[in-house]
Amino acid sequence: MKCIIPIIAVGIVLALTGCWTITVKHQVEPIYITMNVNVKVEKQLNDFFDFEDQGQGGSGSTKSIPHDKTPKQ
Amino acid sequence: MKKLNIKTIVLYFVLTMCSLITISSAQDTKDDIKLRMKDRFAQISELKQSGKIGETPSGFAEAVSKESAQDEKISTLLTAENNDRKLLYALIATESQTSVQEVGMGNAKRYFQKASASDYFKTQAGEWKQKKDMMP
Repeated sequence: MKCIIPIIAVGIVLALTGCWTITVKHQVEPIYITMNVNVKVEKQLNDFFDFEDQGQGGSGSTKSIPHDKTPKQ
Repeated sequence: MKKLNIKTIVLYFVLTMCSLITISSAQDTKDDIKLRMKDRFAQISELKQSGKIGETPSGFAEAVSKESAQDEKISTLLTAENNDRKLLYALIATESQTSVQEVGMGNAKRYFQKASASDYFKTQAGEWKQKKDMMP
């Protein structure tokens, strides 16, 4: 009979510790999933629009900026 | 029992062929979109550079002024461009298991990062601003 009370106390402590672990996991997973999707979308868009970097048309958002603006002597 | 087996095999074969056709046609569609957008890219870039069109936060191109919106050539070009973007966003959303809006916003962000300082962008409030005026 004396042994039952400590066993119950240990059981309660273990149960509470288990609950805390589950709470932490639920907070972390959605962030990881959102980041993974964003990276995936970003990669797919970059792969699709690779022609923009190849200077098709050479104007607008990928227009070339003259680099040597130093005056000729 | 033998008949059932043959039927099952035929059914699996038909299903496999259907899925293969669906996958290949989806790929073709993406390639087709890319070709069309590539052909249009020079014109779109020119209009962006001249300040006639800009990008919206949802990842679509729009006329900046009323005059540009009334120009038939510009509106035809914008309709074609935005139709292709819609198709592309839907394809990427399906592949990445996300929403079309999310892909559009991702593309808007990409356009902003790549744009020159004079390019126009629509703010969430619906105002047109040049990139240089939006930078902190």
